[in-house]
Amino acid sequence: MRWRVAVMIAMAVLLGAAALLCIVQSSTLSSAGQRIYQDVAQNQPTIAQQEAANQAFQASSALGVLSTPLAVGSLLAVVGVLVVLAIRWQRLRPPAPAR
Amino acid sequence: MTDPRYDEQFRRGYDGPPVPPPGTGAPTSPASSARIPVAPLEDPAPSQPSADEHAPADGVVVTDQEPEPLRRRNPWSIALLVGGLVMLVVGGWLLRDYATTATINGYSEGEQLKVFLEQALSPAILTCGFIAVVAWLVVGALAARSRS
Repeated sequence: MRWRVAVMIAMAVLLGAAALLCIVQSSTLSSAGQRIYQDVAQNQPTIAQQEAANQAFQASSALGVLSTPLAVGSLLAVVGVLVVLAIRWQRLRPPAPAR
Repeated sequence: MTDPRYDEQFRRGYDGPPVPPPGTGAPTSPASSARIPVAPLEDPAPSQPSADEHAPADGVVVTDQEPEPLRRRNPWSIALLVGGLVMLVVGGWLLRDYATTATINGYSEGEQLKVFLEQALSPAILTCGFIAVVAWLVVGALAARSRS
């Protein structure tokens, strides 16, 4: 049972790191897309810039959507570790003396 | 002649000197046969026993109240409940913060990251908080089932 707990702990760490990375990257891409349209009145963006901004927003949205299940997986792995340890503690506990 | 198995020395409550076996003819000395008086364990005039205790004939007090077995709570189960409640509170706080600060006018770089974090993490944390509380209930139910 120990290797499963180790796998769950590793999953919690890896998925949590992946979720954080996705969120940071999503925020960065969204900021980059917004920067193109920052002063539209002065500098009208070219077609290529608009295309790049559009791709940045799409990637940002996709990463934002992906980050939620990654975070759920990470937190669920932590909950799973606690559940396994609780059940193991319950099994290994000596039985109460009969009255 | 009577059967020696029914001799008085073998009867319950016999407190006299041991009777030599028939045919040996060796009387026992009074010193060796004398019983040493044993001091009673309890006060010879004890007070009235309480309702939940009674004193048997040998003076040993037996109480009906046995010590309660130490039922230690499952620390991991408590951690599950506390973690679930903390996740629910944190997730609700993040969601409330996101709902009050979200704007259509755009954000600065720092605000953007914070909003993205709240947007992605608040449903995840709330979901896992509910799952942790449900898991705590399941672990408790399993423990109660194993006890019964």
